[in-house]
Amino acid sequence: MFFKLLKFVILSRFSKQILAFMLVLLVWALFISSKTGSSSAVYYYYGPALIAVFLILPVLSGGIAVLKSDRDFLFTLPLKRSELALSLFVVQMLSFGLIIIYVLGYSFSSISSVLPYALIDFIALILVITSLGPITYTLKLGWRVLVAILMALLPLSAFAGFPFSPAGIYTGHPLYADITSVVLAVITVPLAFRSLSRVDLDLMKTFTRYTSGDVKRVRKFSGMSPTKAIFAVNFFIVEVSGRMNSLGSGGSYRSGRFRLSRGVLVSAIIAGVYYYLLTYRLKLPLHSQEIALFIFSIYSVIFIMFFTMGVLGNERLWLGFMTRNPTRYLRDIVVAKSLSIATLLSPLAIANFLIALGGDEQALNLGLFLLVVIPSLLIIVVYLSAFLYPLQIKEELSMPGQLNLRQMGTLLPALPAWILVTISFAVLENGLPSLAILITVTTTILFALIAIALIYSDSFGKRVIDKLVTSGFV
Amino acid sequence: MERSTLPPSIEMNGVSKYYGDFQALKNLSFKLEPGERCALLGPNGAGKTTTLKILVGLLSPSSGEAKIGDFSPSSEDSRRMMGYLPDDASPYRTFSVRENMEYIGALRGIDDVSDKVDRLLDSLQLREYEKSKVGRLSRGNVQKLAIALAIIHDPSVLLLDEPLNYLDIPTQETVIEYLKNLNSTQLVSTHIMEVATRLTDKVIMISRGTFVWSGTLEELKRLGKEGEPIERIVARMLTDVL
Ligand SMILES: Nc1ncnc2c1ncn2[C@@H]1O[C@H](COP(=O)(O)OP(=O)(O)OP(=O)(O)O)[C@@H](O)[C@H]1O
Ligand SMILES: [Mg+2]
Repeated sequence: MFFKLLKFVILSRFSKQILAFMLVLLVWALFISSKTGSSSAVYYYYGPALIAVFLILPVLSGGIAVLKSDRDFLFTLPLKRSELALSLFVVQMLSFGLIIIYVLGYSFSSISSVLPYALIDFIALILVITSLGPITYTLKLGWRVLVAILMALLPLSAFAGFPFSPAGIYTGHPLYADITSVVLAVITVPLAFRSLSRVDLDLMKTFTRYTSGDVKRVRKFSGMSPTKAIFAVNFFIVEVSGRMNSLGSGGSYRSGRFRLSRGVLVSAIIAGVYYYLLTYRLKLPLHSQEIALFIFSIYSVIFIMFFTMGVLGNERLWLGFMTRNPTRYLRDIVVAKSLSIATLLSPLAIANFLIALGGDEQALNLGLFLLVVIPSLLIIVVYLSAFLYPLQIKEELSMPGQLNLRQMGTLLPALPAWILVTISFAVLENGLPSLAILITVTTTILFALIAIALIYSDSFGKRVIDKLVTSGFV
Repeated sequence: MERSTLPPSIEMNGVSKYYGDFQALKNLSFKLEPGERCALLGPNGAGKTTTLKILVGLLSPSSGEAKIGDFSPSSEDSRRMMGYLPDDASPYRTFSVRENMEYIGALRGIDDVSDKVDRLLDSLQLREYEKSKVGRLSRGNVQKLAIALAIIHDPSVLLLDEPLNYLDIPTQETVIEYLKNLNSTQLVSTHIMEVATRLTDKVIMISRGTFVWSGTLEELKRLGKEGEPIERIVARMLTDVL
């Protein structure tokens, strides 16, 4: 019975292809890690930073891999609570936990001298990462941010020489690292099981608790022109939608919003710190900037996913799209969102341009990537997702469907962007700065042009809308 | 708010629609004269929703043409006149009730949105949920909000897909009253005869994407035997085509 349940729970969430794909990636990561030489100075930054990312991810995305149909059908069956919890835990592990192996797999060789410790550390961390989602999914956003910050500080404290960091494995404290990770796992796993074994009750509670849930400040649109109203919603407010559909992460659907002005303030502070560190503190060797870029590109996928998921998913064809020419409405919201992201990232881009003026050409790359390529990618990914995986979000807290390869396909446009940016880095490293700049600028223009072409193509816009209507958008 | 001008007509002219290989509508034609209120009747899968989506310009017909007055459904002019309520309508989920209404009002270019919203909130008994997020509303209240959003700009053409779904009886009465007082041409899709008789005076029946019959409710009743319930007459007519 348990295995039947487990199989059902897994297959209702992941398509078989994606499971196979995950397996292939896993083998690939281990293969790469066995081939690459160790470069401890690089992994010193890389390991802890990535562990931090993966500890934050499940907390922020409020991840719990429960489907709407679970609530309606599965949870109403007479199942043993413990079996249900265990199945959900395994799914959760597939969604969030395994992701760490892909990336940390690459750094295995650098810690091969402490391999037994590393294995214990990673297994414990996988359990912790798996558990964080179920533990935190009912928390309010503010609390989740707090937990996320704590979870990020733990691995990052390794940089400050703190021995009891789960990332201590990279900084010469393998035993202490293991102790911390195991203790964390011992605390979090039972909590996660408790949470999962009553996920149905909790979900019911979260649904009923908010039945009279009010918005804090009712926004006024009275007296606004249509275009102004569109910008008020899509530009001045930044909407982040959880359910990462990047590799391996499932989880519920969540959304939150914040004012663009606040976001810019935060990113300006980060940009200031970044500028200070890079100009006055850290003189990173060229090679480690490649690693920085790699980490950076992982962040940017996550970033793009968080920002694109809701763009179409939260739209309503019978409302906004009916008030003007639908293709024009589509263009208006997508342009507003894209400009919004560009504005949000602009302080970071400016910091990079300043660094570039100071003589570090690579920063130009990052600056353009932030200011132009990511906002363009947002447009491209939104349009592509309409064709590959149109998914309207009608309910919070439950995943609208199974995770499959098609969905990941929407991320493919990000790939050429990274490849081109990486080539530009590589060329630069070989001492050809002018060629590097040429590649960078070409990449930027290319992506901007594709985005603009998509927006302004009326026939393409029509096809997008047709696709949305026939795939059941209301 | 009486309009002095006549509302536009609604017309389907030999419309066929394919979803891939599947033909959902087969050479469908009908016409609603200005100001007529008409029920679009048909069993599940008959093509009612498809018909409405074509009439509001969200789907384009594979062949044939649909017209709102003199305009094509996708034109700016017809969009301005049309109010559309889809089946299973869901408003912007992360907005509150009031935000939904003000946003759509602003997009529709209504000057005094705030007043209009206040009036609708009161007449549909949504006032106490004004600040509630849509995601937290009961299904019936969502439907009320959806109706409000469909009629916020006083459309002169209304295309409603199962409008009374989920509504309690008092609210049904309110909505029926409200819709009857609008000066507009209305096409209401339903498979519930009761809804048709309450909301409209004419009936268009379709089945499997084909036109079956159209006429007034009186004519429909006369087709049956003395005292035969209208549901039975319709059921007989629809099974006859199969
Ligand atoms: N997007 C789609 N792709 C493929 N087939 C579709 C699609 N939408 C509708 N159909 C098919 O077209 C036919 C008509 O569907 P439609 O939704 O218009 O029926 P309906 O009369 O509204 O039915 P109901 O009373 O159940 O709402 C059905 O057989 C349906 O399966
Ligand atoms: Mg229908």
